[in-house]
Amino acid sequence: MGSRVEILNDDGYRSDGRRQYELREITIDLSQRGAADGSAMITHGLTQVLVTVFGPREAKMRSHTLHDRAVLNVEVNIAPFSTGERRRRTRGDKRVLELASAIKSTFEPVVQTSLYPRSQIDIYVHVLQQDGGLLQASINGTTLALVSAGIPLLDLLCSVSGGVHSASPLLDLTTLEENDLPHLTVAVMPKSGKVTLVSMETRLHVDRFGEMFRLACDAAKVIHGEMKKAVKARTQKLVNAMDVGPGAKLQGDFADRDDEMDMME
Amino acid sequence: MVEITIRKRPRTEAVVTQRKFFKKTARGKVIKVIRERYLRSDVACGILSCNICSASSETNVPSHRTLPASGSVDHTLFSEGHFVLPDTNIFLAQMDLMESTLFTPPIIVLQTVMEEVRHRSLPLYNRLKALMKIDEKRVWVFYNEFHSETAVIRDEDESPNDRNDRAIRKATSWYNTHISLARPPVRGQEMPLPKVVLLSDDAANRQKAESEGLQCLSARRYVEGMPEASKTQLLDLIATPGEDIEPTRAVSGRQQLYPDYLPMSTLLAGVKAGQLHQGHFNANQYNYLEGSVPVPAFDKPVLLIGRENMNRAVQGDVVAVEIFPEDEWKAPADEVVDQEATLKNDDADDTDEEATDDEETRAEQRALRADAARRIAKEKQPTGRIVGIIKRNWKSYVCHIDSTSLTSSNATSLSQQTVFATPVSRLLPRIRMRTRQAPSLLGQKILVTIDRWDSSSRYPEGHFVRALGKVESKEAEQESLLLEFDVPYRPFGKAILDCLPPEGDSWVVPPKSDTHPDWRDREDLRDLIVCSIDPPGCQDIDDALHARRLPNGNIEAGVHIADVSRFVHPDTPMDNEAAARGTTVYLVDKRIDMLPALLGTNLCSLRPFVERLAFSVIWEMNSEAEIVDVRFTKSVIASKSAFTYEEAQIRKDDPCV
Repeated sequence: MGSRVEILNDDGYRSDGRRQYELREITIDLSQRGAADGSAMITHGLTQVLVTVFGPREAKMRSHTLHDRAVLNVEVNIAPFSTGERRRRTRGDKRVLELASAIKSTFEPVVQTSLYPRSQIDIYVHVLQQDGGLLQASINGTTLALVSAGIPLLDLLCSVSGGVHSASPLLDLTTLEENDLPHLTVAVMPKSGKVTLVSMETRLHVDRFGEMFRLACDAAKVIHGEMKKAVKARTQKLVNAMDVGPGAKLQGDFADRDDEMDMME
Repeated sequence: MVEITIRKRPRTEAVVTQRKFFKKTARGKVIKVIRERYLRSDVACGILSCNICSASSETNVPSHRTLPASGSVDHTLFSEGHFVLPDTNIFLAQMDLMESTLFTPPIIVLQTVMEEVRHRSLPLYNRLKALMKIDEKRVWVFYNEFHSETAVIRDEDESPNDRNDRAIRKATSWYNTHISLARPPVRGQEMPLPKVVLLSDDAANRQKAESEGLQCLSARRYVEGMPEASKTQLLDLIATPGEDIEPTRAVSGRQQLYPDYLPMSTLLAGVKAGQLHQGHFNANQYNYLEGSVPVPAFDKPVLLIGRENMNRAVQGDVVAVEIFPEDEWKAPADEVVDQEATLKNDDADDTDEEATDDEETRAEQRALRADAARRIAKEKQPTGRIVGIIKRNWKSYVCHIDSTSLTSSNATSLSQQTVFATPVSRLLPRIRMRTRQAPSLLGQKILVTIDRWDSSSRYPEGHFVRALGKVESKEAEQESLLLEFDVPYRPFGKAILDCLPPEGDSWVVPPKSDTHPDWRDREDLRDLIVCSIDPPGCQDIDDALHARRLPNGNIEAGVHIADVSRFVHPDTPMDNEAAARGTTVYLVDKRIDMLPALLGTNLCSLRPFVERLAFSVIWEMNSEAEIVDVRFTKSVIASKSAFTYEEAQIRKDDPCV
């Protein structure tokens, strides 16, 4: 079935009304879920991912632990109803395992695992709805869930997907666009600009890659702003609920304070 | 440094902005598709110097693409200026009118209209896009589906067509309000405002528009109001269907376009009994709706008229034909009916989503009726229809991709597309195929094989085999010619090269001995003065001759040909390949050998100054050139010279020799 929709028409509009460099709507929900230490639900347009984090906790199997740091364990579960047609995936589905492995290796350098030797941090990613940008949403969700669990990170890791449509770079692709264009996903630590993941499974001309990559890194910084806002709002709510005595409401903007302080409640 | 923003959507609008629909895949599975869209308020209206739009619009629009402030003032009905907003049916039926250079008013094309046209007919959509690029035409595309004020949601029980019509009307009324807002009354006086006129050939739409207070005209009425100079010519361009265009029919499932074949046993029984006739199907080069099958029972070939009677036969297939009674016999037509021209508006995609037959069947029937009138009764031929295929003779055909059938011509698009491949040979129908590499194959000659032709599909389906190279490049054209005429041109394989003598180039006739097999039964004619005469530069000398006077006064003349049978033995791979090739093919710059070059130009070539094995015929004749004796023998010769025609002629003419 050919694509009947134009990816980027002559006047610069994409199939869903966005322009080239516009990202889809992001909603972040950091409310607590069940017994999880930390959980986050993130939506990029129609892609919805729920990530829950347990840990650091006693490892299930002694043999799997490391003597000097915590072990990160990532499991991805893609719901059968997440795509247009219902598809049940087997337990050991290679694509899913690869996704989990990518997330794990993305977060290895970011989570300060050396603070928790002989423990395990479990990250469970549940994909509820898919419309492109799955890896991007999973990584963003994981960052927020880790923050919500209080696990120390070096930085808020932000991820964005991008593609190239005949020399024009596009950001934050939907399924329709991903099927048609060469695309990549980038995970960046915004403050230092360090990149922990670049994933590309299609073929892209090498001249286009540099521009696309830089653009994706810039877009990750925009998402960083969004994530910070959500974390602050949640922190604010928690602090208000904690009833810290007279003048409980913390005032003003956190902008003057040292950025590291943002992570702490 | 580009600006990267996040497109926010207020929570309450979720219903408006998510489109949910069910789609049936090619395999028959039903899937739910959800698409979201983002509404914006910065979609420009396109009218020059519009205060509202230039304030909110981000991008700079080049001024030559915008519409003039008062539109066109030529029309008799709209003296204050007007813009034309055509409905979908105008573009579907009256494209020629729109493309005419005499049609000058500025045109506003809505996104809804464009998408509907694209959905109905891809070639017409491409023409529309080409129209937008023409400099003299002032066309503006307004994205009404993205604009928050003109976006429309489908009501319960509203058909998609009605929803689109409603969107078009809403956009028209928005435009009229927008223009009046952009030009507020000056000094309390209303300025004359240009109007946006809806053009539609659909009477129901026109009625609804009028009840909403919009200006709406049919194409004919509009043209009648145009200035005299262009009116008459434009009136001619208006297409004739007097009745209104039907809205898109709902999906009715795959239709049976061709009758089914009879089972093979029935066919064979019928042929044996004489009720059905068997023969090879020959398509008519000039009329794709006609074909013929020569059968032994009649001295004229059986004529097949019409797509259904030809029933999916392809040039070269062996078919079974049923003959109509004699009063239904027809004569062959002289009319040239070109498949490309008649079916040029047909889409490549499968017809499982839309019942598009109407347009194409009507076009074909018109073509048939037109030439039916011209057939002369006297030249009647047996006429019939194909009831079954006995043997398919499908092979790879050289084709090129029809550029109008591409849905996405973006050069880096990776999506799988269904396109038409038009064979170079006019005897073959267009082939539908799916490929991911469509954009890179445009402008190249490709090899396509046919896989099947279902009775519910207008075109045969096939797949891509390989690309031959750019169209009109020497290599591609040469290769395509060779493939078309079935000339094998691949290099010889290892099995064949192994059949050659192991000494290769250095093979020589072994010294004379009674025991050597090469010398068995061979006459030693190495002393004779043998020569050959061939074109200059000839490498493969296959014959040589000699003549001398005998002591008894007679003349002995002999012709010697290369003895290939010493090297090519029966039933070897080399023999089979040579039998398949049949001959050496000489092209202008190349030679495609029947036998490997070692034989053709060396060991089997009667070169001068070397000994070669040959087969000879030697005549003895008297001075009157009457043959006295003749004998044939295997021999060994040593050619003394290889003359060219010119050299031989000079020698012959030379009085001294």
